[in-house]
Amino acid sequence: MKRLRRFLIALGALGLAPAAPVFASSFVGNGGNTGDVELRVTLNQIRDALADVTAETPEEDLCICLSGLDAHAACDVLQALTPDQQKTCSGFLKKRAKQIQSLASPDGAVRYTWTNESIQVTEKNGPRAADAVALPAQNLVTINQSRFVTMANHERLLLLTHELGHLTKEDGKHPVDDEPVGGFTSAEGGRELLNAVAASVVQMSYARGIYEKYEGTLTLSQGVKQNWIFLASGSTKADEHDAFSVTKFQGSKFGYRHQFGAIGAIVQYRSAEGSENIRSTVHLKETLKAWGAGVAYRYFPSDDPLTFWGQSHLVGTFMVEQLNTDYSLKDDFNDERETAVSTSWTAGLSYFMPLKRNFWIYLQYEYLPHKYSYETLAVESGNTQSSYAVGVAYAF
Amino acid sequence: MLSKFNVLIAAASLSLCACGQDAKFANQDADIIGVPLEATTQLSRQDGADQSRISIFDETTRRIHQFDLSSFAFQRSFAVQYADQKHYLLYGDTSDYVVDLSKKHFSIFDSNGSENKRPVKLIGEPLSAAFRPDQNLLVVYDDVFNVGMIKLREDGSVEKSWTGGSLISGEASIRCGDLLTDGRLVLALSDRNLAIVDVTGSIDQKQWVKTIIPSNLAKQISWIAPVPDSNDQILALTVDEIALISLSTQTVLDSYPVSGMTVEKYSKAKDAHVILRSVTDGGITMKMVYAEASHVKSRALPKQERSLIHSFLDISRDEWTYVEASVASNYLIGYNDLDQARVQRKMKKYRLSDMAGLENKDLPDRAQLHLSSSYIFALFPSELGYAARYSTESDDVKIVKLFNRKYL
Repeated sequence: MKRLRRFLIALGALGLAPAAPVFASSFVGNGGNTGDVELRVTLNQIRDALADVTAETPEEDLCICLSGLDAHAACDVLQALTPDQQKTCSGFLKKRAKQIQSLASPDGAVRYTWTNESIQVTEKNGPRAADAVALPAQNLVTINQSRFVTMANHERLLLLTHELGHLTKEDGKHPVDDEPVGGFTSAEGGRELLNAVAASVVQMSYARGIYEKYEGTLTLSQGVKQNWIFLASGSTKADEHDAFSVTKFQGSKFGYRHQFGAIGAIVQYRSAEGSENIRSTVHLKETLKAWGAGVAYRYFPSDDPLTFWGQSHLVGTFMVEQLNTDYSLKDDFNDERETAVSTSWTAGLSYFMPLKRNFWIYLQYEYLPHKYSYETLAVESGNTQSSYAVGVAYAF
Repeated sequence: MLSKFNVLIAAASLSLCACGQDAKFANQDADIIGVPLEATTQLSRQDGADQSRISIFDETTRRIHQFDLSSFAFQRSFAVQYADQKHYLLYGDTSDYVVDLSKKHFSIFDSNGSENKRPVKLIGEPLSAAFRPDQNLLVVYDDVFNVGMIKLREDGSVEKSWTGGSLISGEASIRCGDLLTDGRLVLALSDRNLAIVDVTGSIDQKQWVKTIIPSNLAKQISWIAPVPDSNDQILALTVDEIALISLSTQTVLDSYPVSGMTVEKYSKAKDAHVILRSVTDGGITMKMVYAEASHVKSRALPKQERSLIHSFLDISRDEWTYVEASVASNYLIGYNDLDQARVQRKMKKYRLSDMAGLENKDLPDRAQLHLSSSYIFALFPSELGYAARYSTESDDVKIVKLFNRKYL
């Protein structure tokens, strides 16, 4: 209870004072920013929760703790309502449910911005810290990004319902936090009303199983993460120059990529080994070890970040790689070895598919046009390689 | 009793061979002209110096390889016909051609590496050959007892040739023979006479041009070898004795009895000699019999339990070298082939004059080997190519490798 109250106090307030944050990242809304998915899911949940609330909905069915949800979060707020407050809350909800639904829709004309600065709103009683702030005049909601993504699902629902509530209006007037309204007669009656309305929406969400509906979406790995660690294994093919060329290799690679947005930087290490036999006793073996670094470009073919295909994306890479090779030519009596070094540009294309909880699986093709030879043994091997790999990645 | 039994066995073996019976028998080196075909040339020239090059049929890649023995480098290689057959090579240091014989073919690779296929038609399978590279004379003896005589040019092309049959004088047929240092062919006949053949004259006249002389031996000769540094003397083996014969005086200069002993080895490498084996209460004794200074001499190896697979005598260097090994049951006694056994071969060298031991060296397993007075050449069964030249007088080893790569 105390935790919930502290949370509710921290909810956004009506932005009567120009408390716009100093820094606000631009909102793309299509999953291009951290929190975008959580935001869209929350808005979807609000719409779904209010879908059955109409003007004919009995008032006694709203703003109450629903059966079986007594111990749930938000129920404390509703249980503390007086009969007048419950009536005020349910009346507000009946009248403005459709407005809130409309505001929560993708074409509801509400703009959302992210910030990682602390939000301070000025009220009659002085400045107050908040996790979000609504500016009805601009139809704008600013949200603290880092706080929002770490909230529990129902906490996001409470926050946004409260802010959308500020954007509704009746008789040209938007609800404010620091004015009494109806049965909420205290100096912060407006806040208490919107909190009660938000708590009712949370209750309805649980009752309709809306959290379960979107749980998969929320746990789906998101491609907008900045840091990627990857590990893959696969095969590499090289051109055959003569009978002593090794043309097939098996190996693995691992690396790290940091995305600054669509553009990123990547470092990768790969190693592979190939061997072949000629006639019955001649054995060829070649090992490849390479370090590469370069740039990456991330591209999302699909717009909907709430789906598997929406999170799937392509990553193209262009690197400079230094390759160290070790070649061995043996039979029962000969054991020859030679090493070589090659530096070359490489290009690759990967397709990332989301799993759960920041894990990914990906398919990769790389073109590695190294050219080198073993001078002493007069052998050309391992040139112009193509690599195919399957890997896993973790993004954070 | 035992010694008489051994003589009977030896005599039976000789007779069977004379009738043209199974060649895989004790006397594969007997009843032939020259030496049995081996897979390589001798490493020593007639003058005693080491050959500067070697030609060898690589059993792994089934090709003929040539190596420079002085710098020990791989020189060149030839693909052969009938690569699945065993190939026998004849090659001289002064000329740059290689004679290649197998059971199915006969060809000569000239100095440019071009192959002259079937320079002379062979009716039967070649059994042996006598070769004088310094005179470009080649005599090939086959299993239908034809004697093919060929005069080659310096580049290995055939200048002229003729094939004679085994009936050389009256009703007497050829039993064995060899080329002398002056190019004459000496043949032992079934009537116990000797025929001295003018090879060039026979080729020119397309008939045997010969002189018949008596051997003055009581039994037929089954093996003949020229005596080093002599155009006049030959060593001749019968069932009773090893005789040193002067062709000019037609007399037996000296002899060595072989009764009670069996022939362990016939060798014309480099100087002709015969190794006899006797079994007594003291064990197995080997005796090496050779000719020097118009006498037949011998040297003994008492308690020689292991078989001698190869023997090499160099009188001018006062050295006798042989290789012993434990051999399989199908080992061909008499056959002077160093590669009949390929494991646990041991080379021993003695000072001929006083039989002081000079070398006692293990030879590499699995390799095709050839010996000279100074070198051991080893070609290993490597698909990539690996050969070594070991000094017989020190621990010096030279290696050449990877020469088969281009042929894989």
